[in-house]
Amino acid sequence: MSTTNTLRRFLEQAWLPFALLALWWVLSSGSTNFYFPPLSVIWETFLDELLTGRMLRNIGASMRNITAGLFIGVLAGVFIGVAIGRSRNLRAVLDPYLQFLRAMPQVALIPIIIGAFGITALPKIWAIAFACVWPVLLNTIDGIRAIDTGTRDMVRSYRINRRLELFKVMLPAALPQIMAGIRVSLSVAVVVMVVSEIWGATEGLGFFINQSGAQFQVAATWAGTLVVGLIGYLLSLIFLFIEHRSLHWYHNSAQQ
Amino acid sequence: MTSITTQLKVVAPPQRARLRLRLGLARAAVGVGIIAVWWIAAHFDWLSDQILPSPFDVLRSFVALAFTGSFWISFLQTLASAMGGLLIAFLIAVPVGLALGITPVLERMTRFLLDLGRSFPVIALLPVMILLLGTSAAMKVTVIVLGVVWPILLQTTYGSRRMDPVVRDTTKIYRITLRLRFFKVVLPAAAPFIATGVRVAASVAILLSIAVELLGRTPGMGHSLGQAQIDGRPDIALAYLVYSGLLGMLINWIFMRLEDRIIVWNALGDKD
Amino acid sequence: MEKTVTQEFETRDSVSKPHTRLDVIELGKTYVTNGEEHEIFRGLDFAVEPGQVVCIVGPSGVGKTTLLRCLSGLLEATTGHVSIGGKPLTEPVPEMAVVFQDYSRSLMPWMRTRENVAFPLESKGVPKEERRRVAEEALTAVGLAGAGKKYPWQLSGGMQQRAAIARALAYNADVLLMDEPFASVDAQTRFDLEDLVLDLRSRLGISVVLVTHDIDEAIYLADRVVVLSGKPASIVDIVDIHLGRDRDQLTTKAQPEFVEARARVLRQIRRNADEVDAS
Repeated sequence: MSTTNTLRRFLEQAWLPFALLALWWVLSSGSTNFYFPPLSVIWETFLDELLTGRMLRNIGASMRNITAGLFIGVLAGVFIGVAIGRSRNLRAVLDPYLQFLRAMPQVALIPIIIGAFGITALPKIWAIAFACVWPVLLNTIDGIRAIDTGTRDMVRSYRINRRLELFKVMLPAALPQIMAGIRVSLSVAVVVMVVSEIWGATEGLGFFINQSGAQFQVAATWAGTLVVGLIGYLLSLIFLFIEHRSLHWYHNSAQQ
Repeated sequence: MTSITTQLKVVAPPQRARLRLRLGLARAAVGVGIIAVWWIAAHFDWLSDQILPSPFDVLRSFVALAFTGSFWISFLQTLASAMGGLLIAFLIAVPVGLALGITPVLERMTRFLLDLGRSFPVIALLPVMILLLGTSAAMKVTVIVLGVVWPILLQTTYGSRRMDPVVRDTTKIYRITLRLRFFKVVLPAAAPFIATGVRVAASVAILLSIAVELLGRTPGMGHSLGQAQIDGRPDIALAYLVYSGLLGMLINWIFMRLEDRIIVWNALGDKD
Repeated sequence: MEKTVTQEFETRDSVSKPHTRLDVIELGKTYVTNGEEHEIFRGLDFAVEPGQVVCIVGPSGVGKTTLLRCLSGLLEATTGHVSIGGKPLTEPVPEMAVVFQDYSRSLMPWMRTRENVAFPLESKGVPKEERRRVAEEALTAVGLAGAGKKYPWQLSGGMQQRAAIARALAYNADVLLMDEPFASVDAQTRFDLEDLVLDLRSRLGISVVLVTHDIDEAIYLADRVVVLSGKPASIVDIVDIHLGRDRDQLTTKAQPEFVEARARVLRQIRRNADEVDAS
């Protein structure tokens, strides 16, 4: 009963994308337009690139940059966010600077960072990390600030120690907000990753699609672009899974 | 441990002025501190001039740029393509989002597609777009539209879909007509969500505009910034960076105000 | 609290206007979720005479809200039927209005109070001037004269519930269904609102069906109390209350009849709850 339901729900949501894909496949099959190669050709190019290892190497480089950058950025954002969020005075004083840093289009930093530190992987990781810090940081501050007075009073009256207060009260209480920040960071991270690899790199998916495009290897450009899109989607699925697991108490209590 | 900001709300005017002055001084002190460290780092060549120019060079370039026509042209190019893309995306996304929101079947059918579109890093389409449309302004606006249509679409769908069960019952009991239900119930209920979507989309539009200019060599602040860096003028590049941050803040502020006006009933209602 | 009712509403008395009766016949409701059947209530049989206040009382979770949704036409019953003025009820009808417990959500926060009250009339196609006049009169009738320009969220909880009642009055319904209408206001406001309901009933001759878990409230308001209990719920008692039309929070509740009825209802609920526990 419930499995057929799940199947029906899946089909209901999935038929349209698959239909569109099939439509693309059919409509492009006889295409002689240089810029719109048949989807079958794009697929074969993708398989070729995969077999030669070029695609895998570039995917690997991109994934390394984005996971390292995200990890550093999120960790720094939460850490600094808790520190600032705890003190109202610090929050008030730093607010305009933080607002400015968050509002800055993070991709504008890429030429400066890469120009200064070169086209290796590390500057890209820093650029991604720097871009990811702000949404997490500001959301963490908001989350900590919003902890309710009742909770604060409980912590004080039971003389809960600092470590427990941080790990068992403040972080869990701010987690829904932190997660919302990470979600924003995730999409910024993918953009910064791609842009930094197009701007100056010797590896990575951005480099791959840019080079293919510059060499008019249209099918390879399309293939790379679709892979980047797929990775963006997979990362958001992974994120949703983690969010769902870590915030089940939040979603469940909200339903009550 | 009372903070400066909460004190501001409760104390009498003369004291409030003093506290505000203290807050202003503290903020200024932080700024001076940052610049001092930066200046020392640049002055003693901890990093080379090419990496970290002196803050005063950046300041000089920052001021000088404001007196050049080319700066203002690139500023307007970035702003115009971002806002143009935003407008087009708005005109597409709001009707489609409303249609999806009030038709559950359509919403379920397109959910997967929307998730896919939202998580697609549009900037990756740039090489393809350059092949198709060249490095034109039309290409830039197309990329921006493709990028910002999603947040508006998703927020509109969400806002028009989630009708409070009590509100739904109320409209049924009083037999409210379809037309009134749409214009007086669904649309006002969705408005704050649409406004939030537009605000998010506005900053994404600026980001994409600058990214396309940077990589696609289309004129605008992003292109000027990248060119300055390539020309070995990091002071000018940093000045552009500051301007781009200010532009981002300005856009965010404007759309935040707009959002506040639209959700005035929500903002005030929440105070209870 | 001042309670003025305007001429317009005063002329609508029970003599000049034929009133609508509500009949509940063998009503039952069963939900099916994931292939499992949950019978909420069965075989409910009672009538609401024109101008009568009928209170449905029972413990939490007994299915009172489900019953009210069936009475209002929002929900279809599984067995039996509801008839209003002799016609079977299949969907919400203009003879009936509902006042929901959650007033803050049933009033639209983007409309001023007056617009909220006039909203159903706008849907009926009543011209603007007319709806404005009727809305103001309805607001005056519930003691909210002059509050029409404010937004609902600028009013206190009790005032918001008055506005929701005004909306029902403006709709010109004969039967008012109320779902735990005063559960979210403080005790003093609650007494005021209870007296407002009695006042409106005696002046306008409308009938009221009110669902509550509060036995005192039920007896104080009702001409007839329908007691629900058990799982699935059924009517365990119907108590006619003879306390007259003029009631008073202090003296009425001290009358021996009130105390007697209270004991009887409570005993019925308890006995049936015990039976459920024992089975």
